[in-house]
Amino acid sequence: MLIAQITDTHIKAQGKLAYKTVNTAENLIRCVHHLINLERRPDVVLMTGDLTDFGRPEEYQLLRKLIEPLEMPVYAIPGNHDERENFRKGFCDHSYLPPSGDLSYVVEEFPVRMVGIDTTIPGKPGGEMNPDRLTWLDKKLTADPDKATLIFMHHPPILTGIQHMDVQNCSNGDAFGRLLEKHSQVRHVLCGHVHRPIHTQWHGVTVSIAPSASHYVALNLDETSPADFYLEPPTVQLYEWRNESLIAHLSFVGEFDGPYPFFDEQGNLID
Amino acid sequence: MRRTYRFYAQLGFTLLVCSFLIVPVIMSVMAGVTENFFKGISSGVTLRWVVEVWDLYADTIFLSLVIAIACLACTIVLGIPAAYVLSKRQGRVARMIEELLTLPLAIPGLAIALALIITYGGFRDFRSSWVFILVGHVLYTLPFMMRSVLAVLSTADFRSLEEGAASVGAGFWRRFFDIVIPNCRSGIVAGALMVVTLSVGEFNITWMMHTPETKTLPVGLADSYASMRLEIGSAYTVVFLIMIIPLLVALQLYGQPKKKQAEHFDDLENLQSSTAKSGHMRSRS
Amino acid sequence: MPQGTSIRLEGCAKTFEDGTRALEPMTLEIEGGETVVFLGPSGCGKTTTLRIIAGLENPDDGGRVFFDQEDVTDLPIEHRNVGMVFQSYALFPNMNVEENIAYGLKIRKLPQSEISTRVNEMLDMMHIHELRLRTIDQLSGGQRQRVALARAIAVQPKVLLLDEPLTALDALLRERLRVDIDELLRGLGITAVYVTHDQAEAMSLGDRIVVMNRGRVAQVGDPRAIYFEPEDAFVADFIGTMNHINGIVREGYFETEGGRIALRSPPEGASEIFFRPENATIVEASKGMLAGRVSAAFFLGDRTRLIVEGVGQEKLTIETDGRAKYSEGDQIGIDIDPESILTL
Repeated sequence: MLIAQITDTHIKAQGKLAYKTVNTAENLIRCVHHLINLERRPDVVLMTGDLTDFGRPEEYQLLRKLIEPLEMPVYAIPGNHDERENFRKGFCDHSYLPPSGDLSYVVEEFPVRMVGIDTTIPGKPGGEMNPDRLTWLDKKLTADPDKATLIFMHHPPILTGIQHMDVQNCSNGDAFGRLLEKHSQVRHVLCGHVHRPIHTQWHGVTVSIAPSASHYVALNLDETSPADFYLEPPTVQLYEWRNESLIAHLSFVGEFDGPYPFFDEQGNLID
Repeated sequence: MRRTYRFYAQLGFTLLVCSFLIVPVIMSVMAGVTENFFKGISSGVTLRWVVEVWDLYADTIFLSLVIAIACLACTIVLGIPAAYVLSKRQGRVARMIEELLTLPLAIPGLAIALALIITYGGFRDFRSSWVFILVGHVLYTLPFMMRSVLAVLSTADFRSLEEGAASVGAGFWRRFFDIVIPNCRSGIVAGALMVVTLSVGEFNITWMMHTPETKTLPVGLADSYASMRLEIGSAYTVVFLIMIIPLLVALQLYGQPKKKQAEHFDDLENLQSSTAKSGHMRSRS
Repeated sequence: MPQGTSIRLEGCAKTFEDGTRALEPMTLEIEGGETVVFLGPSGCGKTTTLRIIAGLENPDDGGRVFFDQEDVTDLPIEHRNVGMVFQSYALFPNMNVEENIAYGLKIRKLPQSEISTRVNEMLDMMHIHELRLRTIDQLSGGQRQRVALARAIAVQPKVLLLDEPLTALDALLRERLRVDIDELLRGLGITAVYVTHDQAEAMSLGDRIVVMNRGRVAQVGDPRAIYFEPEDAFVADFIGTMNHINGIVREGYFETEGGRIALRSPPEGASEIFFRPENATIVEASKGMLAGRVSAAFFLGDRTRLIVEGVGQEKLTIETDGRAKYSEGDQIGIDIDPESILTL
């Protein structure tokens, strides 16, 4: 099965430019059409937060309109730019969302079990896996210890080396990591928030941060990195579930030269 | 750019001319807020004159506002359709009608007022109501609204826009409200500000046409200068300026046709792949 | 999509208020699903004809317009259910792209869900999804043209009318969009009337071409007929390049300054013959039917274009193989394929 992760779309009302520079609405339109025109269409789309820029109702309205062409199931969780209640109302027909409290849930219908966790702290840029959330997660994971599971959340629990993002990651990461060590069925954690494709090993699981199809946080591994962004080529993260694990593929959104063959009709290497 | 001697000389001259006009206004304002005009500013700054003006003339100030807003409503209802019709007909008749409607500007206000009194003076009730003054104001300000809207209607390719709307099925009224009005908004706003400003400040026509019950602000101002203390008259001027200056500023800001940044959207760029445009690719990965 | 509404014009003429006679009475049948191109120089009446079909102009008394069997002459454009693309696009500045496309559907009071579906279909068809939220002033010329097409087609019109839609664009874009429009018209199967002064556009897009000149129809036919069998000198000249040689017919030959050509059945009194550059071959100076002198040579890569003088009163344009080199002053011989010679 093929999973697509759309994250950090930062939709603004009436398609206004984000940071007076980025046309996030158009970027999302291109990303959506890229996904539905892939040779192999994704079976499910995970939207991991910061879907709107200010969490306003009209932003959710525009967001919903722009993702309408996606006919496959979409599962969304909020990020720090979202507003929980407007999010719930904006996705009111998404029945998997709980009617109150954290927007966390479990998706059972697919070969891999997917747990979406709301890591947001209202009013704060960073996130947390607080004791309540850890308890909830423990319960859910204990309920089905055999089925391979992936977790998707907005704030990454790891340190990326990009200083101004690390200060607002998901706190209480150690307790979270120890919990994951206990539940060996969790294979992969998918995150957003950092607007860069980043992968690492952490407490026995692979943690992947997906890029936004809009703008990228500057890859600055200096301690004094300023909070900048670049308009690098838009990409979207795909994951194929195969042989009990996720294989991550980065797909570039746009039109590129090719396809060119390596071999000619006789099977000889073209030199 | 080095500022030359000539620049400063021109600037100085302009400031001198301006001061010639502005200094009297400033003095008048000062007179309205000073305890005693003849003693000067040393006698203290006070708002008592302004308060007194309010007590004495509040109703004239309100009447001025009411007439201005009613005048705006009338010029919108009459002026926009008139401008629309004139913009569509290019013939001689249209030009003649345009001239006719602009005539009130050329005739002295007193003459217009006299004409109205002679024609309608017999209708007692009408003659003594504020609506009578309204008629004079509308006659005087209508050309401004019309001209303003007509200017916008003539520039944009309006005929083409209307044909475009008609081609997808829009009838006359739908075209008028969906296409014509929204696209001449700048003309309407500029015209509206002009109409309100002119109506509030109108003196010539109103002076001739008013009765003791239907005094407007400028008429009240003339009265106060004639019959009251200088300070009261000046305070009245202050009130007048407080009303009119924001309107004038708004006129300046919104009245000018916006110069849109003509962004050059290169068609060929759109044909090429989007990755070719990653101008900031200084990746260090 | 209503397939193929036929259009019939009966005796449609147009005289404007100031007395100009823009169109002489025209009678024409356009089949359902056909793309007919009105081609001619400015002032020939092609746009006037289009506007009469659209309902933006009324024909002079006696003229009638029919859509299928229905007489629509007295119907104004808003009731004819046409789709029209204007030269200046006429897109509404107070609405964004998707609102522009949806406008006609809104007027028809369709339910919002149907409008959304249709707008998405149009955005898909024209490949302009990411432009949907832009205002008109944020679009390039080519993008505006696509939005204009989308708006015209969204209402599922009976006929599609295009008034010089590519004229305002640069050459490279024009060529690419011409292909797109051709694909679109074929895919839709809609009856289309296209006005242009560009004969390359006409030849590539039209099932039939109506060549017009000064308010009159000069010739109606498919592109090949217009090109190979022009009915008069105007059509011959307007389409492609046409050479003229003046001379007289004598004893079965057409004689001119540069030589003589045997004509199979020379019409008496013909004083001019016509032929196209590609129908002549260059031979050795003394061996050709005609002899002339090269006054200019242009190497075009796949062929060489020669301007030749001394054959008749006018200079001739002849095209030949790219490999041969010619320079000014060269004496050459010219053979013309006798089948291709026209006398008009």
